[in-house]
Amino acid sequence: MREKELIAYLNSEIINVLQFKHFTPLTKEEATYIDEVEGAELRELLKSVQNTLLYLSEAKEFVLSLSNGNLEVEPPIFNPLISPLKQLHSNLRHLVWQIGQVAKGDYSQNLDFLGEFSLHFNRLVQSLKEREEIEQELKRSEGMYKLLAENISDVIWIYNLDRDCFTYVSPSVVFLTGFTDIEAMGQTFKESVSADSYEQIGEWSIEAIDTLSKFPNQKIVYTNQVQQLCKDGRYIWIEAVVEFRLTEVGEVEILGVSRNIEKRKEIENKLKKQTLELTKLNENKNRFLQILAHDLRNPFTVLLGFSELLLSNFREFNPEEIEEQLTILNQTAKGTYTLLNDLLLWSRSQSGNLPFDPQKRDVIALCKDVVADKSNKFSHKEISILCEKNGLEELILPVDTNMIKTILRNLLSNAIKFSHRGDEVLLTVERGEKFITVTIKDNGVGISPQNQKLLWDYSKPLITKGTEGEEGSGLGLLLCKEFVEAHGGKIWVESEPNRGAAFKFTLPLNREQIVDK
Amino acid sequence: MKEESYSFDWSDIGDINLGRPNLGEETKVSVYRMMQYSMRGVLAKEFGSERASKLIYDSGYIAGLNFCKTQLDTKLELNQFLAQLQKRVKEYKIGIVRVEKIELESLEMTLTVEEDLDCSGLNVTNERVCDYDEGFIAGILEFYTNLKFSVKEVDCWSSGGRVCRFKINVEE
Repeated sequence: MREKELIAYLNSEIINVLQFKHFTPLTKEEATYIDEVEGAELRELLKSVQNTLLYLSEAKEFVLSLSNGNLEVEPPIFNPLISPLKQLHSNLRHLVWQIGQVAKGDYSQNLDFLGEFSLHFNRLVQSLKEREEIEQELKRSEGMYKLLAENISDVIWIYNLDRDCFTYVSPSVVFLTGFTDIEAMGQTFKESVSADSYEQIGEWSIEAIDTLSKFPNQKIVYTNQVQQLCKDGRYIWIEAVVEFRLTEVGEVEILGVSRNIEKRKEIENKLKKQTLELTKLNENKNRFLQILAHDLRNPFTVLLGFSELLLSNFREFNPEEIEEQLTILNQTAKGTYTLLNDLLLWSRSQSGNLPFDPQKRDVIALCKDVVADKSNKFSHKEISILCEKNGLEELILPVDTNMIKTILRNLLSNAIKFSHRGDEVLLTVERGEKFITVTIKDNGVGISPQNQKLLWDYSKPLITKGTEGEEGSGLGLLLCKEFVEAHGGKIWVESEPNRGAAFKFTLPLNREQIVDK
Repeated sequence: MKEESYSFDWSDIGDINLGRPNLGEETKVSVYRMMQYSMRGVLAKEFGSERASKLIYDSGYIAGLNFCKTQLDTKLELNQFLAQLQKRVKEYKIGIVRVEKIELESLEMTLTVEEDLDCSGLNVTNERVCDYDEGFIAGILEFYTNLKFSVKEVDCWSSGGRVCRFKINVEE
């Protein structure tokens, strides 16, 4: 290649570069011709032009690759024209690696070049990091919730009232009712609780829906005891805390927590029973004090009054008057003795210190003994006591002799007390299939229906004077009731005013019935 | 004078805060380069430039081992470790390390260092001068992985690269 041709070629290629046209440096072989050019300055100039074309060519190829998005291209090692591009190329490759790292979940990547782009990139990575932290927190929270929901004995549930179905029931329901969560979710409210409880929930729902329609953000919470159906068909008591609320689509749903309160109920019932017993004991105590304060005071007033009268006038009274005074004293003392006896028995029965000891005894014989005893004691009222055995000569029953005698004595005393002088009192014994019935009937003053109700009320026993002013404590009938019931029997009265009264009680024929009672 | 068997340990740096209460930890890059290039010159004169490069590489390697041992958490997995390395190298103002490529299986990597303490701003001489960096990187990676690494600078500010690019491979 001659010198002129070399100059012309290199010149035309430089012009091509300046005119954005395709250019090609000399090949290595062609470039060797430069060394043959005469004149050192011209040779150096041509070499520099050739080198510039080479750098430009390399740079063009590298830049073209970059502009095509090919970051894998290796930059030429020594090329002063592309030094800044090599820095960009390196940064872009680092950016690609960083994006790859972020995609793998490495949110520690931070970009410190590319100006505003780095701000957006770093913000994006920060958002991803925060989202991952939120997701992890959600996961942790969900795990905690799952742990709680599956392990606590309380049941958490959500019921959609508009769709009439459960949308969630925690798995712990199986421990409460025996139904699995899937089975429980297949039930409606109506199916899962008792009729009464369903009615109550219905009332809450009406109230809640009404409130929510006016105040959608109002917190509506109810707590109550509900009977829940178990898989074995039983109903158990649960305490339900429910919150009514609106869903995002405006449906009404109930968020509830149910807790088994069977044991609590059991304790409550025991407490109720104990409270009743304590109330009864308190009433007994009051009654006891009342008797001590009032009922015993009266006979002693009589005893003191008459004995003082007798002492003061002993020398002035004739024997008949003395006998009259002494008779009154004697009767009052007997009445007081009976009262004290009843009081003692009643007190022992109430405190559980009166032993119940049933033995096989002939009840007919017991009746005869008591009738004979009473006939002697109340002969002053000229009342005859008849014993009607209905053909029974002997009736062996498991009874507590002392209790049965006390019952008979008390009922006969009452009959005599409320009979008119010269009346008859009839004691009959009848045998039934499982029980015997003993009736003590008089033709005395009778008892009004109102007073009949008060006869067995131990909180306020009925105290009525007899036809000749006989006193009573009101405890006799209560003792009778206690003792009859201890035997497994019943006691009641049939009476009308002025047409006498029939007190009846039953006793079971065999011991098992006593035990059953 | 140090013994012949002396080997650098991080504690040899001493308590700078105690010793330099007014001037502190920092110095000028020019001071660092003055020491490095004067030393390189002496070494090249004494042992030839190739041997000088090797000695400077070895110094960087010992420094890398100690830097990793005392300044980096080697329990981190590779990506986290590199992120930590970037952070620490920047904190020490050695340069801005960037990762171009990592093959996790073969541990083949391409790292670049921008604003390198050794060479950024030097005259372009078509030479690669970051021997100390090569050794430094090799020492760090060896302490971290317990593997021998070959670290080669393929592009340098001195060769007109504006960044120093290092190709890294596990030695066979």
